[in-house]
Amino acid sequence: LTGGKRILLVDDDESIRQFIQMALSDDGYDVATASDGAAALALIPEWSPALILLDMRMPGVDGWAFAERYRKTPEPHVPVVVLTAARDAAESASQIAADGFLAKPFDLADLIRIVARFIGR
Amino acid sequence: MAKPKAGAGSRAAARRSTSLNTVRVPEAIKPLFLKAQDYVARYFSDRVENPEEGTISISGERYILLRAASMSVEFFDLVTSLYQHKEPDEARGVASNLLFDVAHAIGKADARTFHQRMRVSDPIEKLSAGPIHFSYSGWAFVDILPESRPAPDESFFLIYDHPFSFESDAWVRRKRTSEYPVCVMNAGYSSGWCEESFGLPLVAAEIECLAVGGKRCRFIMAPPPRIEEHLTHYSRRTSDQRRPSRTGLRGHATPVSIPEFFQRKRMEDELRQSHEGLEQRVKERTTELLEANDLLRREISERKRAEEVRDEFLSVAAHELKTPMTSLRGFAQVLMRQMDRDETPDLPRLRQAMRAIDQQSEKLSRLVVQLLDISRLEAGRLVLERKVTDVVGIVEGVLAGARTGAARHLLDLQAPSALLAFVDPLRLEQVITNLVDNAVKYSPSGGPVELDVSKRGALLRIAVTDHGIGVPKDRREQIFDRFYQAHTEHRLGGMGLGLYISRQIVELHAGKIEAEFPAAGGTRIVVTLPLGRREASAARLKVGS
Repeated sequence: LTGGKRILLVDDDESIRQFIQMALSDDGYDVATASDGAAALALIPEWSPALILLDMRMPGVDGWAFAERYRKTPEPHVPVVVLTAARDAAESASQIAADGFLAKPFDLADLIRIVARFIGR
Repeated sequence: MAKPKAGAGSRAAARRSTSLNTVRVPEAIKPLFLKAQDYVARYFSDRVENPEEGTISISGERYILLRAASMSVEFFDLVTSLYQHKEPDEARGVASNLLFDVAHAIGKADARTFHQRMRVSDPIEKLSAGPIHFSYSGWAFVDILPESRPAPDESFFLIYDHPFSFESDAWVRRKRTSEYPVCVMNAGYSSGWCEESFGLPLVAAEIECLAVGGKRCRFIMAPPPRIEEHLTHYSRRTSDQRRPSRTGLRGHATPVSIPEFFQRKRMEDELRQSHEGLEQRVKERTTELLEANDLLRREISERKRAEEVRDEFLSVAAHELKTPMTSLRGFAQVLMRQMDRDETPDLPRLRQAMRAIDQQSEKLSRLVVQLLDISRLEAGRLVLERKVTDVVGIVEGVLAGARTGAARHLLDLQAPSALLAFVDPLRLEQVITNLVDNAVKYSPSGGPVELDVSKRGALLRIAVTDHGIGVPKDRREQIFDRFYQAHTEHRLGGMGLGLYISRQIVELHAGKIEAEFPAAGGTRIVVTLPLGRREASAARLKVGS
């Protein structure tokens, strides 16, 4: 397995991490979670995900800081999809040049669809 | 009139002690004039005429002789003929203004030169040589009347006659009469000399003139702003004996014209004053405008700041509300998807989902309650329902709830077994819950949280102390402000409403809420409330304990 189904989920809300992990696992993805940007950056080399789902507002290294640092890590860079409760999700996504976005709260089917679009089975 | 050089000095010296005959002045100032007379006589006695060179010198000073009529009646006639096509008044105006200005300038210049020669500094002394020089140079004799008040200030007033005025004399000799006083140069010269002597602007006006048919040539000299007042006063004094005149000055036999030179000067002064006034007003208005501008700018920036705060609050509130909603919806959909696949979720998963749904909906409802409280507070509709309540009981209840969610914190209570106060129990519980939640939230690494409930006289004191991250000094003042979050960068959640609502509730109870920051770190929030209703405790403390 080359990480083709591996997803890294970065969100400070424990409850959100739980249900997303649950839902994506049900669909056959492998999901690792991190509660902030720093933990995510530490996990990436070892987990080598094919997709990163990223919350923006987090304590410590937030979504913006994570994106900045992630871009500076050696290639390849995998797609980043922003999951945000911000008023303008698209704006947040464009600020960090993300590959996709989903506004919270979202329909689970939309999440499944967007994940499949990037790393379809 | 050239006198032999020899003997002139001795003759003058002889005259000095005997009589003042080249000028007539009030008794009091005579001695000074005698001295001047002596000086001027000696000065004029040294006279050298040298037609081969074309010079006349007096005490070494060059003089010129002018034929008097050419500067008077003939000059007026000449100007009048030049101004034929215009009104006679205009010609007269041009001529007399010109003559006045020239004479005024000569008077000033002569005075200055004489003051230097005589080395005098007292104004009257400076004045004294003027009339005598006047006589010696053939302009006129000077007779200063006793009611004169030659003082070096605004009160300066001189009333004097010019017998043998070269100007009126020129008219009389031609058997000509004038409608207006003609002794313009006399007035100009004497006021010029006096102006120079007293160091203040002076104007002279001829109020009676031989050329107009008067009995004498009489003048009044005063500072320009006062001249009309003196003229009016003089005309009133003499109006009984005199016919009213055609000019604005009532009761004058002689129409009086105040030399335009001074009117011009006065107008300039007035203009300058009004200009200065205008500048002052402009300055004031500018200051006012700048102040108003400043106020506006401050208001705008305050409003802008308020807008930014509100905007930030909306972002935060949206985030705070959407986060639990995301979980609620997410867990529900995870379960539904599974059931849609005709699978039965296993018990651990069901329990996890249901617990999350329960917790998140509780969180959501707390946020909604806060938002409702805020709108009630803004509308002034938050009303207390007070009853005699055991505060210790409330605190224990809050602690019990908090302990389940704060495993890493040690929640400790110091309190009597009961403490009764007349308060709104739900609102007070809300305050204590908020304070305990904050204590836990802002000590993310755990540690003790101490609650202290006590009675201080007629007051109830509740203190909640944590040993957490505290509040930076520069943010301490704002922590009770609406929407304010001291630790936005930590993203510890919340809408920045807790302490604000707590403060409002405490204040509705006529109490105080304050923050203390112990040197060791952490935060202590202290609430003090009146126990109320005759110290609620008094009657029922025994029952409670």
